[in-house]
Parts: sequence; C-alpha cells; structure tokens
Amino acid sequence: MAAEEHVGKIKAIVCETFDVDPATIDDTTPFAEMGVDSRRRVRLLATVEVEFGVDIDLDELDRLVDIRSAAELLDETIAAGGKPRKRGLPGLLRRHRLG
Amino acid sequence: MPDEVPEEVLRTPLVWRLLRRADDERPAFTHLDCSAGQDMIERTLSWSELLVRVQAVAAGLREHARPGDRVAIVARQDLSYVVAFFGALYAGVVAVPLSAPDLGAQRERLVGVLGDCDAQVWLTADAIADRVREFADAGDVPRPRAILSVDTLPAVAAEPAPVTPDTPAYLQYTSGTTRSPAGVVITHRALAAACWQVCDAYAVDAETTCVGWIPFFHDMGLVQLLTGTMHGGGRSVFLAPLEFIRRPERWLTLMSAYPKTLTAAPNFAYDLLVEAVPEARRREFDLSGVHVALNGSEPIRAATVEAFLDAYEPHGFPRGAYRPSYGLAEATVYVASGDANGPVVTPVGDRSLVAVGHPRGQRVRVVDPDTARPVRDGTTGEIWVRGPNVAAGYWRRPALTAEVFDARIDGEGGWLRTGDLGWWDGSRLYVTGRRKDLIIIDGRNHYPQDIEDTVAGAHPVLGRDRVAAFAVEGEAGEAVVVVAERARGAAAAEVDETAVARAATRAVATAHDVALRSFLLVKPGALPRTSSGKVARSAARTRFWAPVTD
Repeated sequence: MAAEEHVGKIKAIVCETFDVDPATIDDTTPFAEMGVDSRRRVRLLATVEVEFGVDIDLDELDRLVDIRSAAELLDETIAAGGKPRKRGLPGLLRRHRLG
Repeated sequence: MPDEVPEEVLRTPLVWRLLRRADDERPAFTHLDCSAGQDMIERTLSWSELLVRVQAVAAGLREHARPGDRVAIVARQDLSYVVAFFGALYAGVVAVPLSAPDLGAQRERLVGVLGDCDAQVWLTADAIADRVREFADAGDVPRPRAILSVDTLPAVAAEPAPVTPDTPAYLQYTSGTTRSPAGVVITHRALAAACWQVCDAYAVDAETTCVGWIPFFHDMGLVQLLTGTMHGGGRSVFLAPLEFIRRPERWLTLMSAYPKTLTAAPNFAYDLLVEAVPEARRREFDLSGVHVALNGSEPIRAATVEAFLDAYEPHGFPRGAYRPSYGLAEATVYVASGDANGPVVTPVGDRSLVAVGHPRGQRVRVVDPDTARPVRDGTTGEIWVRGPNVAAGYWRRPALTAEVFDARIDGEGGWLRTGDLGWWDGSRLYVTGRRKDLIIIDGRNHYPQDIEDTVAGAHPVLGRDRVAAFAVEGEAGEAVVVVAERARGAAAAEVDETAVARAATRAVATAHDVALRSFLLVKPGALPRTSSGKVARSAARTRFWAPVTD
C-alpha cells in the first residue's frame, strides 16, 4: 500500500528533478533512458530524503534505476526505522562555531 | 617571485617530505565521514601517524611488487586512500589512483584502466576488501598478484625507495574506457614541479587548509587534496564526491569551518551551490576565510562565475579568492591561473571569455599548429606548454606520445601540444576552444570514439562507422550530441525513432555516466565524411547542430 502511495509522489519528484513530461514515462521507464547520470540520481535521492525526512544509504544508489525501485527503496528505509531527520546545521559546523 | 621551479624541489621526491614530519602531531589529512547521516564525523591522521602507516604499506608492497610495477589504488575516498597512495610513492612503485568498485559507472572505468595498466597489486581497505576481491574474481580485468588492505598491514619501519626524478610516480588516467584509456606517466620530477607551481600560484603553506571533494582519481583532486598538502605541509579536509552532490551545503561547511581554506571544482559544482542552496541556508555560512576557490578542469563559464559571486559575496566570499585556472593531466595538472585581483571577464563577439591568467614555473606559447610558429597577441592558436611539470608521455603509447609531447618550436623539442585553443591578450591567457575532439563534461574527459562505439552497439539499426559524437555548448555547460545513420535497408517508416533514441541514451548513460543532450537519427550516408571515409565530427556538428543553435 505504502509503495503505491510513494510511486505517485516519487513520479512527481522525478518529473520535476529530471525535467521530464509525466505523459512520456511510467513506473518502470529506466532513468538511464531519460539520460540521467549518477550525479542527477544522487540529487533525486537527496530530494526524496528531504521530502520524506529519511536518510537513504548512498551504497544503494545502483538500485535507483526507475520510479518503482525508488519507491521500494524508500519503503525499505522507512521500514528499517528511518527516522525523521533532525533540523538544523550539521554537527561539525556547530562544533566549530561554538569552539 | 621566482619564475622557475627550484632545482632542489625537482630533485626531492615529494613523499620524502614526510620524513621531516616524523614528530609532527598536527592534523594532516581529515576525512569527513558522512555515513552516519546528518552529522559529519572528523577522522584524522596526523603527519607522524601518516608516516607510520605509509611505511607499513611500503613494507607490505615490497613483498609483492618490484620497482616499476603498477600498484592500483582501489579504495574509497577516505583515509585508506591517502595512506595507499603515499605508501605506493614511498615504495617506489608506479601508483595508479583509481576508485572503489562501488557503482556501475565506476566499475566500467576500472575495467578499462586496469586492463590497460595491468596492475600487479591492488591496495584497498579492509571494509571493502570482500567487494574488491569479488570484482577481481569476476574476470573482467587482469587478476592482480595480491590485494592488500592498507589498514591491516603491520607497522614496520621502512626507508623510502631510491627513485630518480625520471622514475614514474603514478599513471594519471584522464578517461576510463575500454577503447582508448590513456595513462599519463607522471614522474617524480613532474609531481614535485606541479606541487611547487600550485603552492606558489595560490600561496599554499603550512597554514593552509585544502578542502573539497573532487575525486582523488582526477588530476585536480589528487593534487589539490593530497599532493599539494604533502608539499605545503598544511592540512587537507575532504569528503567523498557523492556526499557533496547529496548535500551541497557540506562544501560550504568545509570552506567556512577551517582556517585559510583553498578549494577547487569545475563549473557544475559552483552552479550547484547557487541552485541547490537557498538564500536562507547561505546565511548560515561565513565565507570570509576562503583564501582560494579555483575553478578549473574545463573551460570556465562567465555565467557560472558571475552567479556564484552574486550569491556568495554577500556572505563574505572574497571576490579575489575566485581563481579561474587552466591545466591538463598531460602537464600533471596546473598550467595557469588568475591572480588575487578577481576574475577578468572579456566580451568577445557574443561570448564572454574568462581569463585564466598567468603560468607559473613553465613556459606557455600560443602557436599556429600547422607551422609551429608562435602567433601574435590577440590571435587564436593552439596552446603549447614546456616545463618540468610536463608528463613523460602516455603509458605504452610511443607514437601518440611523440605526437603530443614532442612538438618543436624553433628547433627546440619537448613542447606539449595541449589540443586547446586560446590567445594572449598581452598579459593574460584565454582558452577559447579545442582542436582535439575531446568532450569534457563536469570536469570529466570523454573520447567521442568511445561514446560512438557504445551507441553503435545500442540498437540493430545503428552500427559502427555510422555515428558521430561531439561536444556542444549549452546553457548548463558542455554537453554531448550524437548523430547516427540508420542502417541501409532499414526503411524509415519501419524504424521506431523514439525507441532507437531511448536505447542509445540508455547505453550512453549506463556505460559512460553521461546524459546525451540530443540524439538525431539520420538517413544512410547523411553524415559528412573525410576523404578517407571516416565520419567527420566537427563537420557533422556544423551540419546537424550549429544551424539549430546559432
């Protein structure tokens, strides 16, 4: 159930991020066919992270091949206890500013 | 300011500088580990710790490799890479800085390069050793004699190997593909010279923090984040490249959180900081401590420079820190750069050209490539370079080496033909275009014949010698366009052009990690050809692309 809900949201993000007409793709159109390189796949991953408030393992990047697989990856991340991320500055910067 | 690299620098192998820092507890190399998610964890080696680890690697290597053997660095961008690379230099073998086989695109590149350099030993880290062994066992590359994890080698004191200035230190691969990998042979002299030039040009010293994320297998990443710091004796703080792409503001953290920072990147990264970091986030960073932010490894776009300065000067970024720079792997890395007065942008016709300033420690001439005579100021010609930083040639490619590395001016040999076009305005160098067919995207080199091969095999109506790939200028920088003829006998009405375009786009994205700007399918015989029957790429660009854009 969750996967289907995520498919729609991720499709919207994909069309926005990759500047693609939604009418020309479906859930299993390979990102590679849209001419997407690994940098743009990482940007997609980052947008999904922000949108759903989770951290996705960058090692999983090769699994990010189409909308369906992205939705599955997101489901797994949430099921594995992906918590909403903390707001605010990365810790390093905070430490240096206070130090 | 001396104009020539001092003789003492050229005679001293870079890594010998470590010996003087045996008791130096200052931080030398710091990896910001992002694997824990939002927070970045500093993992640091001091100079004295680095020496101990480097000696362990050198001692381990001596059991498996002889001088002249190639030793590939098959590691992630973390401290293990730093230890492995300097360990190989210390051992006097020929290092080949590569990457871990983590992603599909990385594996494609590794297959091409490892097949060409035939590395006898691979260096990696324990955490990924299983994955690396699996990759070696898959049979796509020559099997190494040994795969060593640098973090499990026992500490053993070892002397640095005796090397001469002419001994190869490492092979710098500028593009990693199966058809035409070209490993540039960087000698110990060239490396020492390049480090001196970079430190001299950007005033790098023991107070400098070199920060960034450019891949270590890239010439700019290697010198900016590893060898330059070894020369200057300061500190490096770095991230894995994709961790910057994932959260671009991490680069701003790097620039602002450490003293006297020097950073480097190609255009796209400065564009990303403008596009992906909203104004509300920018306010969290104070960039007034940035000493140098150099833009290099591809032609510098005036729009990129202006947009970045507009966005970040209000947050303290000093205009004079922005240094447009020019270099290439065949000259180790550095040729010329702008000075501390800020970027100089000159309108020429409907283009805006960004000056790349003045060379350091080497000679640069703009030459008529046909007559080999220098041209007058303001006239376009090919940029030729001669100096101690020029590489010894291409690995096992004597004919190409002679053609590229031994051009003559007035009877003097040893000039490097860069393949880049440019002109002098009297005091500054401008890079205006390219004579070679090379395609550079986001600072990465691609040879058109490799992309053409991939496209030829992507669909039954496509085939060899009927494809042209070439670079075009776009709003977001350089991009690739492919024009391909459909097979004779394939009637236009029966060919699904969209399916062919998708197959070609998919193949190029998968094999080269490149997004095609456009794919055009044309009728048989429509591509222009040379008198010998080869597809003429620049004529194809003029026929099929230029009329659309100009």
